[in-house]
Amino acid sequence: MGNKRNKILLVILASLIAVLFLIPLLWMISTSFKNDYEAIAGGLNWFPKNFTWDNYTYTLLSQAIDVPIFKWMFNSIFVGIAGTLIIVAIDAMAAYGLARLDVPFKKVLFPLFISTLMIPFVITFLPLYMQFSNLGLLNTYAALIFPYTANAFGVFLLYQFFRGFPKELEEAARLDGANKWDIFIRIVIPSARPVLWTLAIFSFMQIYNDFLWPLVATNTPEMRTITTGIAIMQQGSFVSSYGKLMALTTIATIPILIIFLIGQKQLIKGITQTGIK
Amino acid sequence: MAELRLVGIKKVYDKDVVSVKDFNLEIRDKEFLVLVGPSGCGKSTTLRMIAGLEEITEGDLYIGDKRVNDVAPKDRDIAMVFQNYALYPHMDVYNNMAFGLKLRKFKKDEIKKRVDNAAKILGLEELLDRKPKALSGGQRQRVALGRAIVRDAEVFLMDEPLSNLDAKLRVQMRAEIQKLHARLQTTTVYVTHDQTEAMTMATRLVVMKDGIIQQVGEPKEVYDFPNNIFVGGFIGSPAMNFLNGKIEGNHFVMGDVKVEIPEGKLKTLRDQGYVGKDIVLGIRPEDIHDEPLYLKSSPETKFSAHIEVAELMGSEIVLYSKVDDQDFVARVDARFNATAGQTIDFAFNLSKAHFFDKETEERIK
Ligand SMILES: Nc1ncnc2c1ncn2[C@@H]1O[C@H](COP(=O)(O)OP(=O)(O)OP(=O)(O)O)[C@@H](O)[C@H]1O
Ligand SMILES: [Mg+2]
Repeated sequence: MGNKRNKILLVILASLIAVLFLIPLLWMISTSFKNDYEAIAGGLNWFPKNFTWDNYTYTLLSQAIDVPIFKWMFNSIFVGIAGTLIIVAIDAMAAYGLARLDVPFKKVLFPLFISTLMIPFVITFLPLYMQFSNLGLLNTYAALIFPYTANAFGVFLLYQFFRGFPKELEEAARLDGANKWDIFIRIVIPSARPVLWTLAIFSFMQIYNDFLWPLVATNTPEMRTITTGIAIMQQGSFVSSYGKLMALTTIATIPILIIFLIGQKQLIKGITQTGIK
Repeated sequence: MAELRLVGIKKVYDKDVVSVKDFNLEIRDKEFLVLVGPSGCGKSTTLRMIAGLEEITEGDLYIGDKRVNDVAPKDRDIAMVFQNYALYPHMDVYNNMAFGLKLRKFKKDEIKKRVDNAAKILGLEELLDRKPKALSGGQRQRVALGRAIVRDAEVFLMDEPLSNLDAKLRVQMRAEIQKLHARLQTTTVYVTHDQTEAMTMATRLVVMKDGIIQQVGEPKEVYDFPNNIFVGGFIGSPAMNFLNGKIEGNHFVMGDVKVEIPEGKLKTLRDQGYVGKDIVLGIRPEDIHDEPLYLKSSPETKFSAHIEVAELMGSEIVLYSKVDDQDFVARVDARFNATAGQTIDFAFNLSKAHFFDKETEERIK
């Protein structure tokens, strides 16, 4: 009896939290369908009084906009995917090596890696900027991709998984004739798919959503990412045009949504598998 | 042809945990050798050294005439079945079996031929495209066996392959593994801590304790002539009874109870100077009788005792009783209706019993 009631309470609570998270998102979508007057006028009207597609058609199609919105989208997605691929590849190898192979000094290396997680970005921010500036790499894709790829979070996440990976599977593969690389690629990685997806989704979102670094690392409109682009628009063409700004923002969330939908099943599996919450 | 020879093998894990030592053993071609012993006695360690998964600290391992201490596992031509099956979770049954062949660059149709053949032997034909997750324990175990079969390896190693199965399935798979061995005749080393499994499956068995071989022999031989108290107690169920007593004249004396020792055994004991000394009698439960006919014919080993517990097993009853305040167990025919609370007559069949040195715990031969 009480069990069922608890369950109902839990569902209600979960729904409330979900709604709480969804409110800004829904407001964004709602506003994107309002005309400028209604968008600015305020008031809690969830359903636009004068429903309009104008913001979208204007944002996407109008000749009047002379900024490269599509290039921003491309930049963000390209940088996100490239960074994610590198992160997953490097972190998987690093974590496997630390968790399972006879890597020299691994007892020291691993805590060292992990301790970097405690350094806030604002501290490394300036040196990083100077480094890329000295290398002449500012305003390039390299600047937009590589700073994300040196991140111990993935190593930490995968390390836990590889530690728990059954040793017998590797031994069986060894007797079957597999070398270390075969074992890694053909046995370990396929079994780690959910965790790798989890890491991939987290990484992509982190890169795609980042604002501060792309803002300083780029300085021409063509190299902007969508997040920095939106900020420019907010002060530029779309100033005080909340409807259009929200239309642009809504469009910007679509790639994340797609990635999430593709990886959702794996993501949930991965989260339950590694015990991260 | 695959004989294995283990010569003076020793295994020390880091921090000087000696888990196997003085291990000398010849494993014959086509033999089904069982390593048996209590938990932690070094069975898995031994098997893993043969497989090459564990380094050999000292001694030499030969497969055929070749010393293989430094040969990689994959080049030892050995297949192993693990306790928890170790099936690759992301591969279906077919690919689980084919994986080793693929890595060894076999032709596609040869792989298919071998996998299909193994699947037929093991009754897995219908399951080839299932993932391990969708299989029952018994089916998984069969796939694990299949993976070994397709390799056509010289030696099979099995580490407690049945211990994750329920009792009924275990008996069934036990028979299947035996049939498989009869058919393939592959030299097999099989590890178990279950003495029943060891007795029923082995062509020869090796009893281990604390990393040391206690006895090697055919099951019947080990059962009938255990080298020491440990082996006698470990092999057989219910376990062998061990009764402390003294040799006086031609009798074995436990407090007030005296039983007469047969001539042959008495001579051995006398020759080795055990008369008047404390000594341990080892007698199996089935060698303690309560049938009237036996009692009549063996008055010299008769004594009476109180039955504390009687467990009816069907055609037999297991009786728990005491002589001279020492526990013993007798397995007797159920027809004679012994029940708890009675005091009845028992007789030892001492011609089947053994005497053990109290100090060394070795059988006196
Ligand atoms: N990797 C290891 N490092 C250190 N000690 C180990 C290691 N593996 C096993 N041992 C020790 O070696 C001894 C033998 O272990 P082993 O696994 O061979 O026993 P076993 O006979 O297979 O027992 P079980 O029936 O429980 O499987 C034990 O004392 C164990 O603690
Ligand atoms: Mg073991």
